[in-house]
Amino acid sequence: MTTFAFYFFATLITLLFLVTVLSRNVLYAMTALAAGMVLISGLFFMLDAAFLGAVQLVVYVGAVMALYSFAMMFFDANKDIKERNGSAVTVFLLGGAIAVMLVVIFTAPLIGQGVASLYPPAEGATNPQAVGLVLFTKYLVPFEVAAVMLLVAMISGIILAGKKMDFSLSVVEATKSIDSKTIDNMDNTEKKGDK
Amino acid sequence: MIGLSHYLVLSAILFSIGLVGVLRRKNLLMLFFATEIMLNAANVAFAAISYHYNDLSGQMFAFFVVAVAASEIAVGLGLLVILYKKYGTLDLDEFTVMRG
Amino acid sequence: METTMIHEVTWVGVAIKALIAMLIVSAVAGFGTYIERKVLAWMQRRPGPSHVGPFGLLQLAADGIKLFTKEDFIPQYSNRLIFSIAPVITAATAFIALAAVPIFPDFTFPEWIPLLGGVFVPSIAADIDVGLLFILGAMAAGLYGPLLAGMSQQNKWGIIGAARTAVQFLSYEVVTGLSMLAPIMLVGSLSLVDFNNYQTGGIASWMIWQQPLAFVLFLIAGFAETNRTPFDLLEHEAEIISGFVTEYSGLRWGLFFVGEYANMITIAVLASVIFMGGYSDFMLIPGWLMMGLKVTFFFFLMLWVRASWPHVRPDQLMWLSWKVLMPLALLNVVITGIVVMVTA
Repeated sequence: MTTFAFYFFATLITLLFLVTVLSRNVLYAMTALAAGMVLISGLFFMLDAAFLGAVQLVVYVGAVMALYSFAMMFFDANKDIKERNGSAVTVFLLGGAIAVMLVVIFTAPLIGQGVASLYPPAEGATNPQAVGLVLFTKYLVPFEVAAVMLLVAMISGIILAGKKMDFSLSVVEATKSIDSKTIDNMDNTEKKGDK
Repeated sequence: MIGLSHYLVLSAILFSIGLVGVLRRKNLLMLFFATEIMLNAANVAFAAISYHYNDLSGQMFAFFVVAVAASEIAVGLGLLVILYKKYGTLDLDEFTVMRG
Repeated sequence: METTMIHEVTWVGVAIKALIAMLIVSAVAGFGTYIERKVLAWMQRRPGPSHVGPFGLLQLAADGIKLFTKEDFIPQYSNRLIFSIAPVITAATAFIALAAVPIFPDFTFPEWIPLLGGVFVPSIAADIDVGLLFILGAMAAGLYGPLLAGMSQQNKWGIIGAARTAVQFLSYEVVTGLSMLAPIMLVGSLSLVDFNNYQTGGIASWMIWQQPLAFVLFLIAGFAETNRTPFDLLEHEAEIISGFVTEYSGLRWGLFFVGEYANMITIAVLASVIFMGGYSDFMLIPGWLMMGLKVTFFFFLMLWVRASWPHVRPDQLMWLSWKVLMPLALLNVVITGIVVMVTA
């Protein structure tokens, strides 16, 4: 059962992420990526990391990908992207080679020696409880730093994207057209907008 | 039976897919997508190692990776929107303004 | 805990539970339209559906026939694949969220029933450790239905509807999560079964008395997340034709509809389990009837609000979420934290 589930998830995730990377259409890429994220949370549930799976669902699928799609509203999602691509073969070989190298580098010590468990899950606790116990004792300082990092990101996001948040756009439009031009002109602009 | 190596191989495959995306893509939004794939591949490896060594540190790092991804897009998307307003495109080849 | 451990949860029980949930929700989604129209008509002093069958009861069948026989239309320049799967996403995520929601108390089939005698049916199809978070996540994934629908149909009303979806769901998810956090801190668990067991001591032990603010915030955010009328901006007919469903017709439109009703039921069940004592027996009334009454009450409340409140403007919606509800929810969490710390 686990074997089947693993191969099922693994195949689907790989295919979906390939679609994301290779597709010319932003909408396909975004949908495939979001679906892949949902399936990855399935992997986390299989690995007894239920809380991580739920966080993946809420944060990645619910927030991160939704923000991406919100950003996509600025661009035409149904139009194909035109890109100038270099030699595809080189890129594939290079990417594969670097990835394999990285994996070997990082897994070699792991296979080479027995690793002792540093923070085993607490006895008889559910996964969220065990995670909370470790997160708020051993990893408290990184946790706080992460909170500060999120705050910084939030402030910078607001400053970057929302320079004119204080006035209502409809009010600005109305005053502008009344100030500078006559009502006839306002009608004209409306007609232009309709075309 | 599915062991640790299965998950690590899956994670490696996903990571290389992301890496290919980063190398191949010229559209900034697609570059962001590829980065997310790489972060997720790392998370799979973290969770698998955490499960097979009965150690919660792996899951902790996965949480921090998620937090990093969340703050990354908050800043990154703000920059993307500004870039698009300024240049009208997200293609990296169009941004070669420093060449003189 | 000991009594619940005696019953073994078998896959038959889970399957029956899933079937019951599916059937009830589908039936309610169908019958709910009739109720909604009748109640709204009654509140607005007009007869409502009255021509087809006695009291207009067969209006449901007429609507169904119309829905099935309508032309299944896909706009020429739309993205056909995404356009077709978007309604399925809405309906599927709504039902996936229901998997972790307890609808009725657990029961055992009596021995005299052939085949099924002695099968234990759990209150919840999948009682996972992170139940509440899972429901939040599944409902969050539900926003892709309207979003993709709006973006794929090459229609400016659709795009506006999709943009409003993203903004509204993202903002109000924050409020839902934060308002649920305070009850979670009191109960100390994310499982809805534990929530129910926390409030078994009659009306006085209901969470609503301890967390009235969280209850109100949860209801408001729930209305926004299920796209009910005061926050019905995604498909606001007077402003943006029909928003993300502008180009949909026939069965695909019906799927959006079923998804919306399933989400309404999920929110109603969540409100009753988290804040109103759940499915435990109340004096002489058995638990399953109690649960039905509570869900009916919340359903009626949604219609009542729909009949009495006007739409809000999008900027008012954002103002309400970020400048009123979220600070209140945060304040509630902080106060609850201090109280828990002092009393523990």
